[in-house]
Amino acid sequence: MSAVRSSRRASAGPRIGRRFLALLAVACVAGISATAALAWSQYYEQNTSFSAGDLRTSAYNSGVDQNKVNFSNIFGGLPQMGTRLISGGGSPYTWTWSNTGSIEDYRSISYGAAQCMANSGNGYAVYVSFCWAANF
Amino acid sequence: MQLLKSKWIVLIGSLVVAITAGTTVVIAVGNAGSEPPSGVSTGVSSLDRLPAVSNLPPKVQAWLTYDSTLSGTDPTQARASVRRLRSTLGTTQSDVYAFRSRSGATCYLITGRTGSCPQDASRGTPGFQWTIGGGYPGVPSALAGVVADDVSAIELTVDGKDVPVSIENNFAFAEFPTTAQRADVSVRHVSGAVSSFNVNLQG
Repeated sequence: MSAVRSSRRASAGPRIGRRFLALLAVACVAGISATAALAWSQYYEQNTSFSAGDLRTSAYNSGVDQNKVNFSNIFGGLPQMGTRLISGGGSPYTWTWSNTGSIEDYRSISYGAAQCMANSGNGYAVYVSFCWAANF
Repeated sequence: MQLLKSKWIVLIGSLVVAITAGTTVVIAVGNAGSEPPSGVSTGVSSLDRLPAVSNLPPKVQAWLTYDSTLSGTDPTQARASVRRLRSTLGTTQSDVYAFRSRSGATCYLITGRTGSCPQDASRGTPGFQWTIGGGYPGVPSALAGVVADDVSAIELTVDGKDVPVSIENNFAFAEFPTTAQRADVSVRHVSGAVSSFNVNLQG
């Protein structure tokens, strides 16, 4: 009799373990899905020319922490492009400028948008390969 | 006869002085007047001289993966060529990591701030591939970038005031207030040539 009880207890253990593992697997899948849902990126401009002062803004999202711009001076000179983050109407984030053709901005904002802009002092148009923002 | 000989000596001497002076002027003009090559194409020797970095923080690894893909550089080669050019830099105590891309460009990251991965070494201002600005609450704006071997100094003036720029291991850095309106930068080459540019910081 006691042998039967022991046997039942022994078989209940693995069943609980299997249920726990199944729940864990579901939780992991749900977690991965949630992370994937939160991860966001956007090319908010691609393959176009910017005249001096031209500005583009990405969609708003939470936790924006990457803002990248690639551009080239195919129209001449050394035109400057800039990036920054904004929140609401204004921005405490100052522009980051460069004329090398590549800016990678790793500042972050809890909720906001990214911007790219051709400096108003540029004497030449600039070809923008992309302005891209992400939050992962 | 003696007088004639003296006159000849004076004439030849004057000619030698004139030629020497002329040559010196030509050399000086040639060095200072000719525009140095664009970007950092004269070399970034710190990438060859500094030791390899054994461990990379996760965000630096993510940057390396992105930039090696973007620049068409083999990730394994990019990882092997990463060097730490500067440490605990500025208000954010950032480290600067860099690698040489397949095209020969220097891709760099200032942790927590900014980075750049030009298409090739010849992009941008002669001697200096820079970014400027990038301040946010509690963190000043900065002038930062890769400096070519042929550069002796970088001078920064922000809204009319001189700001010291440090250069170590081919990387320049300086901080200034986020309220700044205009930056004037001069890149002094060892040849004596000067490359200058200005930036309207507010756009």
